[in-house]
Formats: sequence, C-alpha cells, structure tokens
Amino acid sequence: MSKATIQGSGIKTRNLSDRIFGAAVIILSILVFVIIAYPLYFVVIASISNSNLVNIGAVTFYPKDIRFYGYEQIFQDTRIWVGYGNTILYVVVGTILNMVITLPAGYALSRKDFMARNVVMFYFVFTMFFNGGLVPTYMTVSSLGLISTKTILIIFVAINTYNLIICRTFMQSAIPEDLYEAAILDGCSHFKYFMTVVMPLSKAVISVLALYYAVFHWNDYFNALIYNSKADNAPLQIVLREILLLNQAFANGNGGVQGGYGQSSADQVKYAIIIVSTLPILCVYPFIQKYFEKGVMIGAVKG
Amino acid sequence: MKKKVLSVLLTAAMVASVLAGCGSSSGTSDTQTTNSSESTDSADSSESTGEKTKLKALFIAHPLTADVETFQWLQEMEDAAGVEIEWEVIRADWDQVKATRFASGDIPDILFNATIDSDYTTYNGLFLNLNDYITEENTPNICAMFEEEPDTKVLAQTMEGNIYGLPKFQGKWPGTNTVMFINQVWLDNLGLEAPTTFSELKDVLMAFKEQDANGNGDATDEIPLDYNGDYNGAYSLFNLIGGLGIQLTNWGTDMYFVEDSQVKCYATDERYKLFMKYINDLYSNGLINPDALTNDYSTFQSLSRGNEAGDATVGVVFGWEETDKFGNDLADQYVALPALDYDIDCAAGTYDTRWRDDYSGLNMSSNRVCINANCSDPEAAMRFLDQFYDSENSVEVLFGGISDGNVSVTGDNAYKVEDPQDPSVDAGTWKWTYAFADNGPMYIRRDTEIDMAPDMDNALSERTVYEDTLAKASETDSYPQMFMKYSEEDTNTLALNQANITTIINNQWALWMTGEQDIDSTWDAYVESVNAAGLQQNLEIRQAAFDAYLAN
Amino acid sequence: MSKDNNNAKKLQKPFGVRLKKDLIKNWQLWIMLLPAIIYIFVFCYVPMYGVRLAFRDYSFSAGITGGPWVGLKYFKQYFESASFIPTLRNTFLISLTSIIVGFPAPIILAMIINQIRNEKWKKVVQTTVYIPYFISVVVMVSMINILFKNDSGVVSNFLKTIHLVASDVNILGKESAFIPLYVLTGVWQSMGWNSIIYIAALSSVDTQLYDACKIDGANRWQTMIHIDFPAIIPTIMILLILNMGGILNVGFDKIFLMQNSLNLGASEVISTYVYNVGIKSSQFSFGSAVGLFNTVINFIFLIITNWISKRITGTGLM
Repeated sequence: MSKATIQGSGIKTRNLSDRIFGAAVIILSILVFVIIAYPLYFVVIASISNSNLVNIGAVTFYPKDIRFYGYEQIFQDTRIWVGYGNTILYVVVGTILNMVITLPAGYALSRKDFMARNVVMFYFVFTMFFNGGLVPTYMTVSSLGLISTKTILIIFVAINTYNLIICRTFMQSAIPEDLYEAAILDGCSHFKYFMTVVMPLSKAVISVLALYYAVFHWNDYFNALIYNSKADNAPLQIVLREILLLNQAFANGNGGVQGGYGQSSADQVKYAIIIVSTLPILCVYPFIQKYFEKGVMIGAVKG
Repeated sequence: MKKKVLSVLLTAAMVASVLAGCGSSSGTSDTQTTNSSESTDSADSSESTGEKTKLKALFIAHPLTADVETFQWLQEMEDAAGVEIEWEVIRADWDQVKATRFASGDIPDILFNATIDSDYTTYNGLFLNLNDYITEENTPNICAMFEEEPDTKVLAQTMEGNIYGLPKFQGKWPGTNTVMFINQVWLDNLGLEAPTTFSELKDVLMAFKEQDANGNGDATDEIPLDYNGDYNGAYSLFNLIGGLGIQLTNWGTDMYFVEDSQVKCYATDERYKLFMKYINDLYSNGLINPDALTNDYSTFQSLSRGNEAGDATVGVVFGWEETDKFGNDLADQYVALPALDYDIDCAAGTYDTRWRDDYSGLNMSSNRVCINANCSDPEAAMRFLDQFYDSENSVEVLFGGISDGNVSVTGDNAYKVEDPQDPSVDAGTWKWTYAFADNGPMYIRRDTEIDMAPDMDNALSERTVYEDTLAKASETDSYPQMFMKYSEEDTNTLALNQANITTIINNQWALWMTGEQDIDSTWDAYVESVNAAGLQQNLEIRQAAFDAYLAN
Repeated sequence: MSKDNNNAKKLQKPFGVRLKKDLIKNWQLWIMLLPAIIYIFVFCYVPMYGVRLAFRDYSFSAGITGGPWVGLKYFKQYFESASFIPTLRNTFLISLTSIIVGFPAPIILAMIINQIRNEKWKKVVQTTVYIPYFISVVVMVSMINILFKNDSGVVSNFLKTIHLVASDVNILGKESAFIPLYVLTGVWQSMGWNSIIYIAALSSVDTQLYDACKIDGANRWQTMIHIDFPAIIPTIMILLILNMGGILNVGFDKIFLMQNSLNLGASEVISTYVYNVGIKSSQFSFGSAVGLFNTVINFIFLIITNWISKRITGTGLM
C-alpha cells in the first residue's frame, strides 16, 4: 500500500520535472533553430535580390528587386557540369577508399591487446603536427607521376588521422569487450570479428566518418588547386571559385582594370554559389541520419 | 573454419581494392608519361624538319579571359614567329600555387604575368637571363621600347643589370588613378560653390549633412563624405594629404614619399599630425561616413549608387570613373573636384598643394613575361615574345584582335576599339575576355592613335582638373617604388619591418580619426613605436635605392 | 600467471624482439593497419625532410633543403620582431576563447537534440543546424558585415534593442568586440557540424540503461546527466585533446577578411603577420620557422592535455 503511494507521488514529481525539462528542450531547440535558420534564409534572399540593396542593408526579411543573374552566371558556364561530374567521382571513390583504409586501422588500434598500439598511434598523431610542407609533398606526388591526374585527387588524404582517432575511440568505448571475449572463445579471428560484429555495431560512426570524408572531398579546393592544373579534372569548387572571381567587383587600386558591369547583380553570384554547391551534399544527410537512431546498435547485436 | 577463410578473403578483398586504386593510378600516370614523351619526340622531329618550334606557355589570366586558343590575334603572332604554343591558363589563386610550382621547378618554357621581382633572387637559376637574347635582329621591337622609353629598361633590370622579366608600356592611361567627386546637383540645390580649400570643404560637408541636399524630404540620409576604408587603398582619405604639400606617387603605398630627394614616411611627419586633426574634426562633426572603415569594397561601391528610390546619398567620394562609381543613372550628378589647398590656421597656399601622380604605375609594369632557364629554344621564344611589342600587335594585346573584329584600323598608326560584339557586355569586360589586356606584354607607342571606349574617355576628361597640380611633380619629389632595386637581404629586412610598421600606422590613424585616442597626447609615443618597429632602417635602405635610381 | 610473467619479460626485451613477437601474435591487426601505415609513410614521412628548411636559407639551385645552415636565425627574427608578443597574445586569446565557448556548444546542442521527443521536429532541427558549415568564409564575412552593419544590420539592431550592446557602438569597428564577434560567428557556423559526432555517440548508448533508470525513478534530467553524459565522455575528451593540440592554429582567411583599421589591435594574429611579411618577399624559411614554432607549442599542449585527461578520465590518445 504505502509503497505504492510513494511510487505514485514519485511518478507525479517526475512527471512535473520531466514536463519542465521537455518544455526547456523545446524552447531551446526553437531558439537554436531561429538563430541558425535566419542567416541561412538571408543567403537565399540575397542570392536573388539586387546586390546594391543587399550591400546597403536594405534587404532583410524578403527579397527586393528580384533577379536571377547569379544563377544564370553559374549555369550558363558549361564547365560547371564537368565540375559536378568530377566532384561526384572524387567523393564516391575517394570516400570508399577512405573507409576501406580507416575502418580496419581504427579497429586494430582499438584492440587493447595490441601491444604496439601506442607506438603506431604516435606514428599517426605525429603527422598531424609535423609535416614537410607543401613543396616536398608536391615533389613526392610529382615523383609518383600523379600531378594533374584524377588519381591524386581521389587518393590524396586517403586517411585522416583525426577521423582515425574518432573511429578508434568509438570502437573502443561503444563496443562491449565481452563480445570480443565470447567471439575469441568461439575461435573467431580478428578479420571475422571485425566483419561480423564490429562493422554492424559501428553503423553510427561509419556514417559519421563517411559524412566527414565525403564532405571533405566535396569541399576540397586547395588540393585540387595545388596538384591539378588540367581543366578536365577540375572539381566543382575550382569551377565555382573561377566564376566567383569573374564576377567580383575589381579590387580597388588598379584603375586600369575597371569594368562598370553589373555591379547591381555581381555580388549575387557569391550567395548563389553557396546554394549551388551545398544543395547536393545536403541531400546525403537524411540517409546518414537514420543510423543515429537509438537502439540501432542493440538491434544489430540481437539480429 | 569456413567462416574464418571467408573473413580472410573479405579482408584481402578490401586490401586488394586499395591496391587496385593504386594500380589504376599508375595506369593513368603511364599514359601521361607516354603522352608527354610523344610531344617531346614530335618537338624534336619538327625542329629537325625546320617546322614550327613547339613551346609550352603558362598565362596567369584574368578570370574573365576566354579560351586563349580561340584568339585569332594570338595565333597570328605564333605563326609569324614560327612557333606553336601549348597553353596552360591559370585564372585563380596563382599566388598560392606559385611557390610550389617554382620551388619544385615544374614550369613551362614561357611564363606570362607569373612573376614578381623577388622571384628572380629567391628562385635563382630558374629563369633565363634575357640580356644576351635581346638583340636588334632577333627582338627589334623590344629594343625599340628600351630605346624610346628608357624607363622601361630601368624597370626591367635587376641590381646586377640582368633582365629576367620583360615590362610593358601602354602610354594611354591617365596621370592619376583617383578622382575626387562631388555631387554638383547637391551644390546647386543648396546654392553652394564647389570648395577649393580644406575649410570650404568642411563648410560644404556641413551643409550636406544638415540640409536635405538630395531633396527627397529626408534631411538625414545624406552621407557628406565617403571613402574606402582600406589602408593603402586607392580611394582612401589619404588622397587629401596632397593639400599639405606631400607628393604621393603610384598609390603612395605604405605612406612613403620623397621631398628634396629625401625618402620620408608621412605618417610620422608633423604635417600628418595636422592632417589627422582635420580628419578627426570632420569625423567628430559627423561629416565622414562612420561605417566606411568597416565597409568592404562592394559596399563602398554600392553606397554611391543610390538608395532604393534611386536618390544619391553620397556627397563627396573618391573613385576611378563616374559610370563605374555611380552607375549610369547617377553619373551625371557628379563632377571632379580639383585638389584642395590646406588653410586651417594658415593662409591657403602656405603649402604647395599636390595630387597623387600615378602615371608610371598606370602605364608601365614589369614582369609581364619571362622564360624558363631550361627552355629548349630561347631564340624562338624571344622571337615570339617580340611579336607582342610590335606597334600594331600591342594594340591587339590590349584591346583584342583586328581579325577577331574587336579592333579596326582607321588609318596609318590609328585604331578604333570596336563596341563589344555582345551588346549586353561593357567594353571593359569585353577587353578582359578576348585580349590579354593589361596583363599582357606590349609597347603602345606614344604616337599611336587609339579611339577608346567611352569609359576611358570619361576617365581622361575628368582628370583635366588635376593636370596643373600633377605637373608640379618633379624628379626629386616623385617616388615611383617600382623602379627601386633591393638585394635579397634588404628585401627581407624591408618586409619584416614593414609588417610591424604597417600594423601600428594602420591601427593608429583609425583610432585618431574616430577620437578613441587623442592625437596630441599620443603622438610622441606613436612616432617612437613606429621608429622602434624599424622605420629608420627601412628609410635608410629605401634612400640608398632611391639615390641609385636617381644616379641611373 | 605465466602470461603475466611473459608480459613483464617482454617489457625488458629490446624493441625489435618485442615487435617480432607482436607481429607473430597480431599479424592480422598489422595487415589491417598496413594500408594506412603505407599511405602515411609515403605522403607524410617521405616529404618530412622539408622541416629542415626552418634552419636553413632557402636556395633554389641547391634544392629545397640544400641551402646554407643558419641555425636559429629565422626563429630569432621572429622572436625579436615587434609583432611577436602582440600576435602571439592575440592568437592565444582568440583560440582559447574559441575553445572555451565553442567546445561545449556542440555537446549541449547534441544533448538538446537527443532529448527532443517529436521525431519530425528533431529531424528538422538536426538537418538545419549543420548547414552553416557549408558557407564559405568569403560569404560568411560578407554576411557578418551586412547583418552587423552599424545602422542597418538586422542583428546589430536587434542586439541594441534588447540592450545587449550599447546603442552608440559600431560592433564591426570595436576592438573589444572583435573576439566575441569572431568566436560567436564561428560557433554559429560549426556548432551543428561538430554536434554530429556526439549525436552518433549518444545513439550508441545501451537502451537497457534507460529502462533501468526509469525503474529507479530518475527523471529525464537525471537520466541525461547520469547515463547520456558519461557515455560520450571518451569522445569529448579525445576531441578536447585534439582541440588543445590546435591552440595556435587560428585560421587565416576569416581573420584576414574581418580585419579593419579599428580592430587591428585584437585581430593581428600569427597567420596574418606571416602573410604580411611574406606578401612582399618569398620568405620560405621565415614561414617555416614560424610554422615549426606553432607546431611545437601545439604539440606541447596536446601532450599536456592528453596526460591530464588520462589521469582524470582514463581516456587518452596514446
């Protein structure tokens, strides 16, 4: 009797505090949403408004003097399709390669019974800090005959130490050790344990890493700039950068190079580029998101 | 057991796919090497059969530049010189790529618009010394330029007298980059005269601020004086300092100038103190756009193009040319304002008023093109480059091809720049798209007549108000920094010191203008800190270089 | 027993012998590591000889690191420069503020998102917050300039209406406002992206623990603090260590574009200083020396944080 009453009142206070908590969560999430969403909305309206009005601060909540010069400039340039094609190639093949290299390495480093793990870890971490600089790296790539090939843009940064560390930490902390011991008793090898237990249990981290790598390849501008000079291999970001520069008001100070063209539209391009370059990669996220659902992991173990 | 085998196979497959990645890569590189070896083979064979010499060239182009292979005029020059060029064009961020390409030695035979002076010392041995290849019979046009415009030769030579980069001369550009514009309609609306002195300028700005100068019923939307907040920028407030007798040359970069053959920095000059007090006075009276310091160039340009209703909102501002600065709708409202005399607490004329002289900076520049020291056939390369300096070809380099329909011949040594073939594009854009334009090597003779686009005509006619003032600049008070030569050691010292000096000066002038710091009480400490940052050492190095230049 | 003895003995044996033993025992793990090790060797260790440039003069004809040995000349040049102390101080301040404000933000965001019960709203929030990451620096700074503009900026006007900022302050031109502006816009841009890893880590919490908690009568707040938070501590610590290891890496682009004459006192950092020196001359060795100095400081911070973290939480990189 009395026990039930105590429990009942416990549930009540719990309900009340949970309600407050729930309300706080909703309010906070709405706040965050607004803070994030307004500037994003601003990018969209700035990409179709008269740039002069945007620059003087007259465009705030709805577009003014609507024009589509920015998008016209981008899509009338045929190079953009080559750029999209190349980027998709680099993202897909590059990311697969990244995963094939990172996941097994992350697993090996997560094994506590792997004696060399700290030494090997140091081997990787050291390169996060010390590097020979751009020129020696360029010469190495050059001596492999990879300058201005599609290959280098796929394999460059085949493994990112930061991502390797994330992978290792996850496999070390989120996968119960007793699973391994049970598997060992069954005479399971590392290879098999990795493929049949670790991989299915690591869907969340795999999707995070895939996202990280894919976005890296998608956004990669610098490596393409340094290691490629062939227009045929240029990824989207390079093409967009050229379109952006071509529409920028000429920098001040060099009177001979003025062209008084489309100032009222030129700045649209820089906003339109954000949308053109971001939309496709945004479409990937919902596919990845579903692996963040709770219980995915337990389900996998039981399944 | 079976399962174990399977998992081994799976892992092996993963490893194999990695290897496959490498395999395909080596495949690509193989085809690459065979291609390049083929091209060198054919180059060899063509040489032996006396056909065209094959060369590779790199052009650091303006982003607008179209595919150079489609330029008729360029093809004609290649044919005339008996060469065939394989072009590589880079349109963006060469500065980031340059060091890597140069340091690894990965460069083609000819490089257009790719180098600066210090590259020849930093990458000593990478570029060809052209001295021996500039001869009357092989490069008559380049020789003509060096003879008729001796400044170009001074510009091209290093301290040791070597020539690595070839300069350009395009004598048609005006004597100053910057025009000070004032809104004539506003003056008329308020019944005012255009100011001629600093105090009159203040009165006019005051009227612009207090009254409804643009007549739209709102007396508060007028910005009396706007400028580009970029320190070292062409449209900054420092354009006014000529009123205190300080002669700036070629954008007056880093605040250096010359007076009686002495190199000085005006940011530590007593006259700068007076100048900053005047600026601070304008600012504290609300006459200077307070946001100008933080506005970027796009916003600076946009502000002068009116508000949503199309009313002009800027009274006085610096710019290149009226249609560029104000747009076609508002351009008619503005006129150029002559250089103003300083008359605060003294009579106008106490100081010898000057206006910035940019003639050499606008008309000449070095390093338009250079040649790889390992170039297989330097004679042929030079033969090709000399084509750019031919009288007629130079016009084509700048404005576009005659056979492309962009330039027409109107008489003996007279040309007309045709209107853009696409009417929606302006002349400036057109020229950057279909010619090397200002990036190219060229020698436009002074006596060549060119009928240019309307914006250039505007630019030239607006500047007539500065002609008399500009004429005062003499050799002993001009400081065209581009002609100065420094050793590698000195270049490094200058760069290290200048980074420190600039930070102080750039920060301090803004603090003074906005009144965050008092000028009188902080002046001495400021001068001391600038000197401590290495100003005196830089002045010494610059003085030695300037003396050597004068002696030349 | 015998296993323990073995371990003790192993420690005493020379490295080669131990490596050989490990190779035999864990050959499968070594195979799994092999592609990564080879890649890192070729693309990171082979070019490593370039580090020597910091101690040498650059000479093209002698090869990238073949120039004359000058020892610490370029380090001295940097340490003795008038800009050394101010740029180092500014870099530290910006970076430390970024970590203090920017590091917890994605953790809190992930917790909030994790607690949203309405699945649709959860998805909407989750997909929105990470989009700012894709905005380029150039556009980011343009937006800052427009939204925080003195008289017409939407955000600056809002901040002034709610009296968070005094009405006569130009946020863009105030030296003391530079660091908050830089850091908070940075948080805005990266918070959602950085929260992804925590959201993923939270998804791997064993749901049985929640049920157990419910039975114990814990409310949602308590569940979050006692179940969710501990579950992501290893991830938090690892990322904190990595962040501390980047303490002097203040990116160049955004600072450079946000600099103006008024905020220079706070905005001149190491990377912009090196740029200003380098833009006028090709200063290979000077840049290398400054870079190496940064690296060493970063590395020290990483090692210290790693050591502290191992002591306190048992999690560490190595």
